[in-house]
Amino acid sequence: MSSLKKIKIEQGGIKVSNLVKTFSQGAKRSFRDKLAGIKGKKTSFKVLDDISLSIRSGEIIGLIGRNGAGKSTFLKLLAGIYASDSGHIQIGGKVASLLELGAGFHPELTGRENIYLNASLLGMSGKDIKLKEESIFEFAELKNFADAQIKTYSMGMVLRLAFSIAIALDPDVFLLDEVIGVGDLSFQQKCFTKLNELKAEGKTIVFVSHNLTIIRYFSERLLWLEDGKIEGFGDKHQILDRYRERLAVSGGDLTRTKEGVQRWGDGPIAIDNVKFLDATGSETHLFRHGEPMELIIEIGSRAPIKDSTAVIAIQFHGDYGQSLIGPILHTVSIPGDGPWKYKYRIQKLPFLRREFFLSVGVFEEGNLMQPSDQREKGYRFTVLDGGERMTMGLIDPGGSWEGPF
Amino acid sequence: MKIFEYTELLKNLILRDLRLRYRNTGLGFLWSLVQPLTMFFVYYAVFGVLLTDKFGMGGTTYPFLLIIGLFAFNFFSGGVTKSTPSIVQAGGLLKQVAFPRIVLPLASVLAEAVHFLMMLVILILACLLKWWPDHGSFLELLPILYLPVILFLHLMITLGVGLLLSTMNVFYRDTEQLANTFMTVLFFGTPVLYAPPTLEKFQSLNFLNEKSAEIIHQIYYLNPMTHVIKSYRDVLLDLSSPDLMSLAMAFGLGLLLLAWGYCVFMKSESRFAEEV
Repeated sequence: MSSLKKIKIEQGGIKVSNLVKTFSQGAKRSFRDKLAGIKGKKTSFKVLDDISLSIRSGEIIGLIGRNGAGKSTFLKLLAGIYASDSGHIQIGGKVASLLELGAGFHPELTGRENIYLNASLLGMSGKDIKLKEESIFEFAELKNFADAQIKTYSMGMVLRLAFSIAIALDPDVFLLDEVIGVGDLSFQQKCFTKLNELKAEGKTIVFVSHNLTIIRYFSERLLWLEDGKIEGFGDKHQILDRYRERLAVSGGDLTRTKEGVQRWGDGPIAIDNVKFLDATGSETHLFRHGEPMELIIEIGSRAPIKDSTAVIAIQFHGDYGQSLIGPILHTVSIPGDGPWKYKYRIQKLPFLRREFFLSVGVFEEGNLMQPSDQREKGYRFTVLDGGERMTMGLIDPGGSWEGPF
Repeated sequence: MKIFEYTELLKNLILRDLRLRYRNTGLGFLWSLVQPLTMFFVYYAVFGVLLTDKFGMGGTTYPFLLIIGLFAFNFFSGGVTKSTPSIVQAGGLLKQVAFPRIVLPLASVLAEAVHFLMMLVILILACLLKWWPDHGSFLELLPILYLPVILFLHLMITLGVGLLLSTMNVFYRDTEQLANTFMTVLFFGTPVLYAPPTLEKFQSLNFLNEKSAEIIHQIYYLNPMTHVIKSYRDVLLDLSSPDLMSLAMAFGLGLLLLAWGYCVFMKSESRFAEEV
């Protein structure tokens, strides 16, 4: 029966039909319960519910969805780590998976010893490993650390090694959970360049990421899972727009930038609140490119303030936390304890669809080194579709083309 | 059988086990000799020298009888207690990679087997030492050729129990504790420190009646390790062919254990990743 399946599916193709997976909680774990005849309250819930789809060879599929949507479970079923309750999975060719970072490595063993262990775990023969050993170190840029114990490696180095080994396996289907995010930007770039090469060779890649920028750049079609069901599967632009909208409406549980929200400064002037208003003057976190945006910054006091002046600084960040615009400084008068509102209006929003973060700080006049109150990347908004399809990146400067002359 | 594609993994897991156990230690691999030899000397001091009069365990052959029993039992108990937690300990690995899970307990048992091979060299040296003083022709040593057969049976039994307990341990974590405790009981319930007692020996115990002595005698010989140790002693101590009945018992019981362990293991294998 299994050989029949292999004939039907093309090399690198994935076909899933009516896949169901349930997990049970509270299963009994000790003899005592068994002996006492305690059945244990077994509650089971469907992690994946009737998933059917097919993926052609040479596709890069991005897998999105909120935490607990079933993304990792889906990958584990594809990888053959979990057994399904019902339904079928057919995969053409060899599957490699990189699902959790560092599992399969032993910290006490050296990089080289771990290559042998990990590669053989993925099913590589001793001869093949010997042949590919050097190229693995080369791709991982770890030649000088080959004989150092893994416990001395950084997370980024572990990722590089793990990724290089998985690539060396030369799989037809490559499954990646959110691990690449650990590497530094240049290695991430290298990974995706490599993945694109694999794709060109007709390999299929399925990867999970919460980073919508990565998803947007590297996938072609998106699979969106929600509560174990397929919420959408198709063109990435369409799906991403719908996904963003959903996140913004529900308040979003998008993972924050690595830096997270930070607040510091304990001067007398404090930021009470920051609101985003759209063209109609109502509060929202959802904007479209080219539409107006108003920032309302409410400033209050921690200690009594007399009539004084302060400096408000705002700065826009991209979804990695990288600075895009600003800081934009503005001197304002504070007529007393407040609270007082200040407005910053953008006529046409230059940002392209993505998540953005806003930092707001207030300074006492003449002391721009030490903020009185600073909310670093404390506010988030989302820009949906709009702008030219042909314009990439984060900001559309609004220029225009002419020519030829 | 997919397992044959994974011989490299098996090799690397065994190497990992051996490397890690003695990494960063001064004596390194020699430690694998120190522990069993120390055990031997301690037991010999107690049962071969101090308590001889009471239990009649002394005599010139006792150290040989003891060292064979000890080393052989060590392999069994080491293999079982190391393989029992092998699945649970590899938890993260099971969740990340799909590979035949059976390599995990198999590697634990085989790593112990590598140690035992070294012990076996010592046992053979001991055997030669005993044989040398008034030896005849070299043909007298021929029974040593039975060792691979006995070793195979020994491995079968150890692996069978290891597979069974490593599966059980995934679902009931008490298994590991149970296995360790059970090994202590079995250590004395197997002819490790003494020669296998005859039925008359059981009957001579005045708190047992005829019937119960017989039953206990039968149960005692249902322990396959009794037959394995007996066979090792037949070969190494007496330089005779092993008792065929013992070999047959060890084979039958070993096959039963291995088949049972294997079936239980394969039946539950697909659920391991979720349960650990």
